[in-house]
Amino acid sequence: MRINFIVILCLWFSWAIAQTDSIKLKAVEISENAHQSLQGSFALAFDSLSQMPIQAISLSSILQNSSGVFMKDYGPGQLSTPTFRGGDANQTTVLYNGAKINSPTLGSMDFTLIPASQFKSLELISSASANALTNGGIGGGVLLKSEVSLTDNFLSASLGLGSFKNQTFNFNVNRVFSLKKVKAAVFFSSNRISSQNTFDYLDIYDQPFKRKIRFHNEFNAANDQFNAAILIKSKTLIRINTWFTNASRNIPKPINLEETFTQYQNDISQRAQVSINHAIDVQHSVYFMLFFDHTINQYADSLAGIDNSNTFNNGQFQGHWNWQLKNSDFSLSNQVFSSYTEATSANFSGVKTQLNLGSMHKLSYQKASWNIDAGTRTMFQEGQSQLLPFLSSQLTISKDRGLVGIASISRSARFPTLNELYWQPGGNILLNPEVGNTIEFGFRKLKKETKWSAEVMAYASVINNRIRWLPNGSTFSPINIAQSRNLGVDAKFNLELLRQKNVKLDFTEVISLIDAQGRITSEVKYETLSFIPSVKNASSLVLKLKQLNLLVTHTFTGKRFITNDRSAYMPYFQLIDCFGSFSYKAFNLSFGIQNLTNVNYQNLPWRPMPGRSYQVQCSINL
Amino acid sequence: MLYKPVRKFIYILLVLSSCFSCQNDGAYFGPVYTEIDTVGNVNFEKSIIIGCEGNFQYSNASLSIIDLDRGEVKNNLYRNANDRSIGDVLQSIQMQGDSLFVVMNNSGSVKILNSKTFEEIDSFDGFVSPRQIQFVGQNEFYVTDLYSNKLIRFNYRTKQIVSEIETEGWQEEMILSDDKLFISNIEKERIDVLNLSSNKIVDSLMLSFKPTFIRRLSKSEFITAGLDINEQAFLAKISMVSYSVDEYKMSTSLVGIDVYNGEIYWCNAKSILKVDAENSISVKVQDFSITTPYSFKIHPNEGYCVITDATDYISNGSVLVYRLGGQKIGKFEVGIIPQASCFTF
Repeated sequence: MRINFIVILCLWFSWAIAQTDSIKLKAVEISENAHQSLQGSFALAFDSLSQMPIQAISLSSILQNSSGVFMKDYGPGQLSTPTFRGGDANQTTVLYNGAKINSPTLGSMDFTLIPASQFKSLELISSASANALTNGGIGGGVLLKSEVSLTDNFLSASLGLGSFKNQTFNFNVNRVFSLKKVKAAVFFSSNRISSQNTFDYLDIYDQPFKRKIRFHNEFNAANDQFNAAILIKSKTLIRINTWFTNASRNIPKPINLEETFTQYQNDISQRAQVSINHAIDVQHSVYFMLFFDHTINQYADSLAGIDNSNTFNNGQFQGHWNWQLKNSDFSLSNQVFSSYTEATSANFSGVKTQLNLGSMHKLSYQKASWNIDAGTRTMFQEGQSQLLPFLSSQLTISKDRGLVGIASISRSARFPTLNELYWQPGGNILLNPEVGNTIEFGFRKLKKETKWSAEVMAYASVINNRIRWLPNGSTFSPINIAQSRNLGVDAKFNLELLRQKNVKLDFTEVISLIDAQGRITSEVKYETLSFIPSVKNASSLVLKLKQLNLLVTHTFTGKRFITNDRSAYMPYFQLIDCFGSFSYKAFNLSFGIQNLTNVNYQNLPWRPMPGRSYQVQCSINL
Repeated sequence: MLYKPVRKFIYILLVLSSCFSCQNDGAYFGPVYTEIDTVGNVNFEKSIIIGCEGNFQYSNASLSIIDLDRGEVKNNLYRNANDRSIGDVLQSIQMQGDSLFVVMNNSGSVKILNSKTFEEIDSFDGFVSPRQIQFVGQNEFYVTDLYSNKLIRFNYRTKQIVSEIETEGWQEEMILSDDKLFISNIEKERIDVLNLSSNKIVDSLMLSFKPTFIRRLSKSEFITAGLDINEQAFLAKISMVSYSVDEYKMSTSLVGIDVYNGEIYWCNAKSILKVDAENSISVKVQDFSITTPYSFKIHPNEGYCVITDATDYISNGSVLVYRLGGQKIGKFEVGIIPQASCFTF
């Protein structure tokens, strides 16, 4: 029934779009700077995500293949969370058009559940920018921006088939309207993934090693997004966004444990957002945003007798006011923020609530050759408060060569989540916020007249009061442990190998180096943090030849220590993936080969990953 | 003739592919555990066997033995004897005759090992989340199980479940007295009393805290200790005859409790105290300095005292051995999260 409705909706949109010629509108005059990263801090942008060769790809795959982020991935269709700059999964903030969508109960976000094809762009930002936008991004943040376009009509639909009985369906449509001085657009996207994930793997737990089939690994996900944008007199932009997710999966046991088929998870999220961006005059603009998130995370284990439905309702409000000082290069930005959550769980004694209040004030100075942003965020939660200053600057060193120096320093904080405070057994109401101090500096080399561009950022961070679930008598309990410190470099290099009419050959290298250490008390020495590879590298080669696109990616994930004293580790692994697409008029045929060299590997202990797999996808773009 | 950019693309692709040719199926690519240094032979006459939990779902649990006369430790006993991992999350160990019974929590199994060679004699699988065992009668034990809501009586000769008793809550440690089995119920904050003759829970003794540890004090009394929901530590004396319960608030943290020569010993994060609960007197008998004290045990006759250090929970831990109130015997590096211990003498 549900599928039929989606198909009818898709057909209606297809018909509607066929009736109208493309309308090209002027660019929006108001600037949407409420959710922009700081120019003086690290950022890695992925534009036009919907143009990826294989559209059903998850955000987890994109970050694993194209960034220095290490994804803690439990296997196809399973939980996948980021480790960025030595931070935990809950220290990477995920913003959906500016609204924080990290679970207020877990603190983290499962990146397997985010279909990249439904978003216009993705940006990976460091902690200084994350702090300027919201709270909790001690490691950094991921900005997701919705696809709706006020300038272009488009429609695309794709069907994909792949190994492990993997089926995907993706449909995107954007429709632009114009009525006198009001311009509007609606965007609808529907994404379906269904995969048995019954891949074969080498079982290396016991000798002799045997090839086995991974069962009980089925994953189904439906994501529907509806976005609307209304531009009134080029001064007021109203956006309405909804995002519904319904995903279910079986959870297989790690291969070191007896195979049982008893664990199951269902995630349902219903998110709605309304924002108004209004340019009062040349100097002043305001932005208001309301966001609501209703999420159910149901986990069941029939053997252990667990059937727990963890539910939360989260409402957020943001208000921004930007003031460009008259005849001056200074501007002032102010943000007020509030977030209210109520959550229920069989592991909570009653309904638990949480109120976050905060504000951010930023003074910016913008010249042609340099700029500086200085400000502070203030956060309050349950009688605790944090003052979180930041400073960021960008200086043009050589205009001709496109060389720019960048530096930032910031303090950020993550307040304890509802689970950390109230989970029974173990919840600890005495927890303090985690606080991180980060300094980063480096340079950007823009392309200008050369064939290459680069960005290199060195950083150092110290995180105090890290929250860890540790054994406490006969149960686990979260406690604030002393400290961790991270030293690292994030770098991106892009080289045009060939540029001719209708031909482009580009090479891109993204590398992340880190030395992450921590200690449990101030009396003991620092030791290596677990599951953080000291080297993560992603390189890609893109060939665009008329209608043919080819993409090859190579990723190297270094050794990850399982224990802090380095007595146990996961070996390094490297993977090659190949994607290609051929377009003819409105039609497109894509293919993907993942793990081309059929490498046996485990991302996390005893969680087998699949060998070589194939995908084909047909799509139509109007 | 291929177009130049395509050729260039293919060349690079070939170079990449040749660098990473397909992997041999015999190659190992899973977690790699480096051996901790182990020393010489072991005098089983005077040793302590240490069970290390390992990390949840990593199957890096291990067994170690500390030779008290030589002051030496030998690690990874099970893996060395059986050439495989013992399993996931080692919860408890108990000696019975010349066998060592090892409860593997997340593997859902109880293993019987030869206590001298550590070779596996038998393994009983199919438990959900076993915690502790208590031997009763001939060739049988009771096993508490975290998630099954059952107390299981198991015959390890016939490998048969003798009986399953429906329970509620999280049952943990047990103590046997004649025809009664007293079981700490952490979740329900009580002691459940099982009548062995009728094989039924006949009583529940309510407490104001979660009874984590349970130890025999005398023939007719036992003690239990734990924390309440506000992390307040409690000690309770319970009569196994009248079922009377005397609770005492303790103004200190709790690592473990034990009994030696009829006296109660309480281990907190920094020291061992001798406790006279009725008179609210606690006398410090031993100071120690370790990162994360995790478990505590005293030899019932010889007064050797064992304190385990889980360090940061994801590094190898260590074990401190003292003569109670006296000299330090040594500090020994063992596996990850040392928790269970039993004396061979």
